[in-house]
Amino acid sequence: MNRTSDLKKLASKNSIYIVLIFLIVVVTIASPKFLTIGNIINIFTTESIKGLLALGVAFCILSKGIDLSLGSIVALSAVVSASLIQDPTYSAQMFKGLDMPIGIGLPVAIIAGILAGTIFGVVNGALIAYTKIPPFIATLGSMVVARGLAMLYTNAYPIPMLKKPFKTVGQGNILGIPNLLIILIIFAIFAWFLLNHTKFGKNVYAIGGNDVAARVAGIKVKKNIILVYTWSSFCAAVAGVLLAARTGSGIATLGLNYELDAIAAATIGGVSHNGGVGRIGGVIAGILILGVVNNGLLLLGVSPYIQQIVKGLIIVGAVVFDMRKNAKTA
Amino acid sequence: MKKFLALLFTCILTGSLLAGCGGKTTTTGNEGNSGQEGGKIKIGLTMSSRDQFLSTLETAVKDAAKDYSDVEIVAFDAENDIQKQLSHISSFVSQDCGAIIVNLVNTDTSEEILKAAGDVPVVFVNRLPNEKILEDSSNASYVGSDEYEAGQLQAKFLTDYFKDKSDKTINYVLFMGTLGLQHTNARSKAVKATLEENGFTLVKQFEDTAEFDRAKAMAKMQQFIGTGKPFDVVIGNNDEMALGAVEALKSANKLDVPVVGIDATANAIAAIEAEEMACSVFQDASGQGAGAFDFAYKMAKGEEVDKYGWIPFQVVSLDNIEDFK
Repeated sequence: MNRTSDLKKLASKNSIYIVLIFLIVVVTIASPKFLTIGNIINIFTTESIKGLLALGVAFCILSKGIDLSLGSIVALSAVVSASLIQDPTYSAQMFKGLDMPIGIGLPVAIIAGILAGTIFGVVNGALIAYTKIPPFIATLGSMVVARGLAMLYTNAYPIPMLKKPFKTVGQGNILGIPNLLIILIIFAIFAWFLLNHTKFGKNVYAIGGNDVAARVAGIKVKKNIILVYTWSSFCAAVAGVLLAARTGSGIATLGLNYELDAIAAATIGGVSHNGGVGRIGGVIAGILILGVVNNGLLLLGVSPYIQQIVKGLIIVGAVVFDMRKNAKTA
Repeated sequence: MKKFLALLFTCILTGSLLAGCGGKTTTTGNEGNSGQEGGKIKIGLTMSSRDQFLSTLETAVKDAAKDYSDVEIVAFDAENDIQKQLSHISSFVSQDCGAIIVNLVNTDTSEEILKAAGDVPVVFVNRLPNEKILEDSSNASYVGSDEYEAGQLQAKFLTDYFKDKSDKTINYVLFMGTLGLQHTNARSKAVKATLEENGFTLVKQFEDTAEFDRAKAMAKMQQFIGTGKPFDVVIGNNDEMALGAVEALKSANKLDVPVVGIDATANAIAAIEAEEMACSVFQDASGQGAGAFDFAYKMAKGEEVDKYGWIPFQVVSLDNIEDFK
């Protein structure tokens, strides 16, 4: 009796992983091409950009907020970093004659791109913390502004012909593992560490759980909110630089609607929109579920319209399931 | 209850996955059975998105494949996402496709696309990749229409239209497509340069982008008409924008001004027939699709093909409207 209830507990606590494994089994049976090394690496590289965004937005959702500006920040960081590392032999170079030696140019381009995006997070956080406008509205505003800035900066022209070493950052691999995946793993470990082993992490849970109680308990709510949005935009900024490197050009339309996929991944992964509940492991599983579904439906040759319907059903299903679970344990 | 829900949830997932298999639309074969690789050549097709034009192109690729019993087309839609397109390419490679047809999301990513394709031959269709990269590659080709020609044909029609004009000056309004795209630049440059070559003096009254969008063109045209400046012609980089301008002209009672577009969409054909638009330029989506398949099939079999397969444009006006209905 006791054993079975323990097993039940374990299953319901880790239901998300069970769903993931189950999906992998189903897709593998349906398409023998699925479990090949090439395909698995392909899933990871494709999902790693959105995965970074999901790791960022998970913190916002945990603190009972949301960040809609991530996709636009991806574009802004991509165009800023791309513009500083174009090949000077390209006739339509954005900054004519700009040619920093790679030892200086590479870090400058990467850091400038990351900074351009991260600034938005500081502004988002400050807006939400000090003016008390809902995060949805604040980040909706910065989403439009960041996209506009990216357009203005590039005049809506793409910025192609980037130097090789920069592209290697996004296209290369170490011992067969794509750089993108390595960076995602590093970020996942760091995010896990932040949430579980730092005061900041505890504060995020506390604020999401009950911000009034958190304030009474002496937590600096405003400061932590700013940190949360800075972190999420930092993730998006890194993703933007990597996306420019991976695709070999910075374009102002990059990352359109990526924030929605990131929110979907975090939601499927069990991060509750009521705040204060969620784990990084779940977020990663959420990303992988979306990745497996995308890739599986692709391999099976399912029409993209059906794919969208399936994705929507999964998101809603996951939340319904999750709420039942939390209602039971509460 | 919990268990039941979990079960229900996973059932939905599996159900939809399997239902998806039933909704297979991508395999083409004479007997239409699903993708058993019985020595068939697989050809991957990744479309940038699916609007009317591109869907016609995609259908043409599949129809062309139906004439061969040893080919299977695997078609994906990248939904205008470069990342998705790159992952499609990797997926084609891991599925051992014999050739890949690519309708680029962005023409600057051709190098990355070719890198992802590795040794698999690539046929770019409709959107011209970076030409240097295309020419340097040993197993890539392009099938499409020369965008410059589309603008030239508009100019040719207008040259005819204005041949009795005494002062040889044309006050023009030009709606450009999305800035920075190769066909926007080529179409705009071609129509202006060709009119000047034909002896006209062009006066720019209004020249702006409306991003290929009907509503944006209509709004900008209304504002421009409000300025009261004179204009003899409205040129659009595509039909949607030309039709937007027509709407604005209608409400200002200025339909006597010729409006020219490109694409020959069904709406534009109707507008030409109603004498609201003067002409459009037909880009042969089916021809491009069939041509791309032909190239891909030959390349998959290891045959030599030309670097470029040009599919010509045609002017559509009241004189030949019957051929395009």
